[in-house]
Amino acid sequence: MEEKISAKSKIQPIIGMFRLLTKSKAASFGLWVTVFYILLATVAQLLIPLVTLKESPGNVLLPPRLWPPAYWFGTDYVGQSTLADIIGGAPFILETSFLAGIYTTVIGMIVGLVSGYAGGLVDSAVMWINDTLLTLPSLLIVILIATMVKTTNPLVLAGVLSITGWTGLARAVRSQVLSIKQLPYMEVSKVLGLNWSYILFKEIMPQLIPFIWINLILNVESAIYATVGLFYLGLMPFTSNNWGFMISNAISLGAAYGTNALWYFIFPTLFVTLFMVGLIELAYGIDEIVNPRLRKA
Amino acid sequence: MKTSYLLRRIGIALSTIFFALIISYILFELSPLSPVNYIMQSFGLMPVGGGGLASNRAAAAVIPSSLSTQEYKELLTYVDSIMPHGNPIIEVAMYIYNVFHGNMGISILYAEPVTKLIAERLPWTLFIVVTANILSFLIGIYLGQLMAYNRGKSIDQVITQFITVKRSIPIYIYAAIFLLFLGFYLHWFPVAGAYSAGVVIGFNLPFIASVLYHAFLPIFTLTFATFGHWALSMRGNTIAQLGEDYVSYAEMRGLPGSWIARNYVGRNSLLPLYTSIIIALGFSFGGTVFVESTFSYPGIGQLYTTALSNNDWPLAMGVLIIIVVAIVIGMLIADLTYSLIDPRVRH
Repeated sequence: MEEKISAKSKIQPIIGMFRLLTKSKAASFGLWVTVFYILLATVAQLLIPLVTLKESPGNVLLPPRLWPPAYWFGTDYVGQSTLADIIGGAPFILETSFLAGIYTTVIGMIVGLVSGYAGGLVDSAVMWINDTLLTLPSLLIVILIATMVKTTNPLVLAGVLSITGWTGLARAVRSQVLSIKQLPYMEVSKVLGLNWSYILFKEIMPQLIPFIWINLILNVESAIYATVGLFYLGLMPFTSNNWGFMISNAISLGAAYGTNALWYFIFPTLFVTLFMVGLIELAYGIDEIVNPRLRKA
Repeated sequence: MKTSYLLRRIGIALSTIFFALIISYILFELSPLSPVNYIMQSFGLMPVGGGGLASNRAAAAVIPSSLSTQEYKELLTYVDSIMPHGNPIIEVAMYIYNVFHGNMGISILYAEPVTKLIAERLPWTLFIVVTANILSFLIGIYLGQLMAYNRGKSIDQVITQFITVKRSIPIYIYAAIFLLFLGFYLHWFPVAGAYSAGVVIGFNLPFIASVLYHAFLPIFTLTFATFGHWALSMRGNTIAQLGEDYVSYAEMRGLPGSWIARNYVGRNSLLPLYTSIIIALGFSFGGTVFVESTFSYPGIGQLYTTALSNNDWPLAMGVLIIIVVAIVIGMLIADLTYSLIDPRVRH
């Protein structure tokens, strides 16, 4: 039976989802921004050799120029093109933030589902840990752990970033599960003798899917906040094309040494900001579509 | 019911502090980074040869006390052994015992007691964080009410959209933009420090004016970055209250609209925000790390990053624990006093 599912029927829901998303202005803006950044981190990597400059003292911190394309965003503190830096830094930011978002969401979802469904002692133990982590100043803990681990491997850094991030989602999912557990169809599935994993993942989880998607996007957004922030504070081993490092370096070049680092400051800032605004708009747009209370008539 | 809830809150408070203690202790103990290198450097002791780095050779020529690689390694293990590496459980217990006696160790970087360093810096942080939170709360409440009474109109949509975009931009970007443009390019505000070098420290007008002038940008940044949350919550609460029956009844009784807005709707929609203001106050310490390090403001946030970038473990641990204790106490106060101001949760 499974072989009969053609490529067309697989693509159909995706197209439907796109159609739904473009109904909301905010969602389509966010969607296009996200697509743009994904392209920047993948396809645009091939363009780096075209915009790379030879590092030389004469090239340092130049303002933007129309031609050649390498000068579109000006140059950085070693005379490299800022455009090449931004494109080169995109994969790291995207990998780290998306991975951290996925880790956080998956942990939060599973903890919330299990804790809400199991109840009793498991629930109170898990919620105790959850509340403890929720009380901690997560940013300070993340800065501390990241400084001590000192890694730039996206897989590990994303893990560090998601240590305290899952708590809010876990609490929200748990309370949703508690309210779904009261519904009559849960009793029916219990009477039918379905096992707990089926009930949990096939009966309860689908109800929470839109909610979880929104949380995934918001978690990616807060992971960008933390990643860029870590490099902004200068606590991590950096490369010259890291966006957070570029911002903090432009600040120290501009404000402390009085060089004309204005353009070197503006473009990384713009790229970080646009990405975060785009993700937030996407999350709000999805919320607008799936949440009947916010839906416009 | 009530006591069990309170006991749970106190238990969570204690376990939070304990968790912060354990996690920082384990990390500092197991981290490959060590303050030993910093100590050796501060004595002017550097290895010769071995590494083959040009800087090391240059140092060897300048600093007479340079050692051979063998001697350097021996000294390194000796200095490392000065820091106690014993039974971790006893270590942590001793640390807790010492913290309760006001002793948090001695900073490696500043060679001063950690308690003294924190006591010097904490007032500055409290000053900017508390001021910024009060300001952002007031602005948020005003905007929230404005939006709620004009809901659906264009002013509501404009402010909501503005706050949505504003909230998604991280605080360090605001700090960087304000520092670069208002501080550096326009020279309106100072770019570093908490007061000018020329003023006499004490209760005199030039000093207070200088402190306020230097604190303006940090407070402005913190306020600007946080008021959106209050505005949106206040908007939601006010709209929820406006649909209640008692508001219609008050209107029917012919009470003036401003009276209803202030004493009926305003009070009731402020109540749910009460617990979150203390929580927000605690979490502002996270944002203040970025603000203080951008504006070189001498608060504990800057102390924390300085300590971490120099592997100054006792100092970083002390700052973290002080902040966690502050947050936990704030949350407990919020929980305990909420029933005093809201009669509905009194049992």
